[in-house]
Amino acid sequence: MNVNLKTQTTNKSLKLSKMKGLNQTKRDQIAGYIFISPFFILFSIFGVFPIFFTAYVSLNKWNILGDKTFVGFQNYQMLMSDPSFWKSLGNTFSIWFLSTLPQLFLALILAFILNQVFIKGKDFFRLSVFMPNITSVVAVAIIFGAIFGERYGILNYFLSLVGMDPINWKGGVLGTHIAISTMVMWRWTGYNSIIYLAALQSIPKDLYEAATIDGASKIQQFFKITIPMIRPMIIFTVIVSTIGGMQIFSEPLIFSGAGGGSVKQGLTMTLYLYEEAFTRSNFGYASAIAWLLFIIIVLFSLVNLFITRRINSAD
Amino acid sequence: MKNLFSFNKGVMVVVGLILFFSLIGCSNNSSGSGDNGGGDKPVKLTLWLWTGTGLEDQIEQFNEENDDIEIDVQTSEFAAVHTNLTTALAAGSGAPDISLVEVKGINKYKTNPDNFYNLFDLGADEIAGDYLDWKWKDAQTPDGQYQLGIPTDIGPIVMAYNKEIFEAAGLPTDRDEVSAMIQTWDDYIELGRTIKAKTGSALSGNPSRFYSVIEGQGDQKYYDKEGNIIVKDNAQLKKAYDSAITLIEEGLTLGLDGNDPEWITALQNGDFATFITPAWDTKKLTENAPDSAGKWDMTSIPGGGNMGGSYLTIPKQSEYPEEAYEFIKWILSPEQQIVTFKKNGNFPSTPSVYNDSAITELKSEYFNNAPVGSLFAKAAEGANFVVEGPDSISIEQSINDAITRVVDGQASPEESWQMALDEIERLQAR
Repeated sequence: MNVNLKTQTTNKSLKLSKMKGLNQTKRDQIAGYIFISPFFILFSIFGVFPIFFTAYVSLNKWNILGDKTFVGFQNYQMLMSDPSFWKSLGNTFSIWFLSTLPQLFLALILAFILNQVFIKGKDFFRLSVFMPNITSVVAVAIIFGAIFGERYGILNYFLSLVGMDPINWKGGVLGTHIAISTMVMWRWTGYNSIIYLAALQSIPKDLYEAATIDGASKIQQFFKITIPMIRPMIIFTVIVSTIGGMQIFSEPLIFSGAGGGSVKQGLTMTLYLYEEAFTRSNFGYASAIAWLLFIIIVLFSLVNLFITRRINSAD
Repeated sequence: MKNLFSFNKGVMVVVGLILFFSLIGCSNNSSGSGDNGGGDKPVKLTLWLWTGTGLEDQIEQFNEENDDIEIDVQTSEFAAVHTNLTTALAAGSGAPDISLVEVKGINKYKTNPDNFYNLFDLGADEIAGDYLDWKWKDAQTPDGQYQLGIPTDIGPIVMAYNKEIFEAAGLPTDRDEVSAMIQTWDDYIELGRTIKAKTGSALSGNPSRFYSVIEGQGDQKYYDKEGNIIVKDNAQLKKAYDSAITLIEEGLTLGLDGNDPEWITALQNGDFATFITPAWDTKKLTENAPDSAGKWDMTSIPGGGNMGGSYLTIPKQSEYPEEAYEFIKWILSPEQQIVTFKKNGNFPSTPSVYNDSAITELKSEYFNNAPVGSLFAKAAEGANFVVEGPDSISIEQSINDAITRVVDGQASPEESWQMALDEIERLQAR
């Protein structure tokens, strides 16, 4: 290679000859770094830098248009004694719990049904269950807001048909959590069932055939064959739903308003962060919330990881 | 290792980085104040508005009449305009040349006026006399040296009422008689009791609106002249709160939020009899219930008063403050404010036109040919200068929450009021 370069006298090859000290391996290395650099440049600007800048800001009292004053850990101290923060933490977990469990269970059943041989027009149904996931969150939240309306909502209308008193969904804590969880479930059940469906289809058919010959019922097959075979996918969906659930924002914002409602029944952690930063311009305090949120998600993920390992090693 | 950074590859990396950053730079510029395209091309100014200001036609006219200035309108939602502006000001780039700012927003920006041009430097003192004094002063720093904005419209408060419900309750429907019937807010509540007893309809949809109107009729609101928060000691606030509570406890209000779709359903169903509204909010009736034209009428409220209203400002990031000021001066001139009022119902902030026949003779078909122009003008007389402060928005939110808690049965009126006071105090600590 080097010999070839030297024998040529064009301008171009002269330049190239300056690299004669490099062997092919080194050049490949350089090329590799250049190819992956766009991601790392973007990630460091929009990912790494904000994380550390947020940590710095959280140690200041900073009205975004005014001056920063260093206050140390005062923001964190105030957060610890801030009832709104604890309420938002409780709300987030409550909504996560109310939405994730039924959602994954429903998704599994839906996927199992969609995977049956007797279903006609499978593609249509598969598309249908996924549709909610690609509709606009805002549109979903507005429509669900109308469904859960106290005076003119359709849900209370149905309740009145069976002789029940109207429920003030928006005004109460439990009603709000149920309404928001329903929105989350409506949007994500289809997504999860498509993932389960893919997992189901990777299960060899002969397992079921053998079970059928042995006289196992459909329900037995579901619990003894299906569930164990798709366990990795279940773990995946649990983790993804957890991360998503900790960051729930648009649904409560539109259902309960920026403040999260009169008794903060819809105030989730990200909504509280948003409200502090953009409604009240307390960027220092909002940054402290962001860091606590980060720590909580890390802790929660560790718990998840621990449980996941236990399940995996159970095999 | 030296070889790793050979000249050729090094150049490539540098060029790549330059390209990358110039891309970022470009996108920043285009969203900012726009380029000056040289001598012949017009100066391009970006203008941020929220939806429903009704200014678009006049801006188009301005663009046609002026060859050297071109206004580029960018419209977003009300809250988004303020959030985006705050972020852009803090970031130091991305702000428009001109932005519309609501009165509570301007009080937030007043604490750091340097983010905007002082319009006195651009000649604003010459036109100060055209505008209502209290309205003008609201966009000024307390020392009177720094003018942040020029007033667009004001929100004189009137009462729209559903004639059919009044008739069914055996009440007079003539607007002068209705006005004579409600000389005080106690009369208004009494009216609600009659309507409730005779027809079962509610007096109002939204109790917070009732609170805000009474609150605004006091000499002071949340702040005193020195900028101290006086929520706890201001008797007017408690009086307004107690009046709203009376409505709730006697079932005279539907207890809905004014921005809730349920409120609109209630309007379309004709489930409430009155709507107390500033000029800019009458659109809510005409747009959401166009079929009810003629069913509604309009009259004065006890004491009159003002709610809301906005300003046009020039953020410091603009490179063309003179041109921007020229545009603002034109579009907010008394003559143009009349045009906006006729088209969109935004009531002028320039008192010289209140006797203009365009206003005195303006009648609204929707409101049964009520003389809306003179009703608004009369209500505007009741408005006075009220000191607002940087946290007015979140204080108002806390009090509105207190009212909602009572509506939803989450707390007793006294508890709820105390919770609001505690929250306001806590928010001040940050």
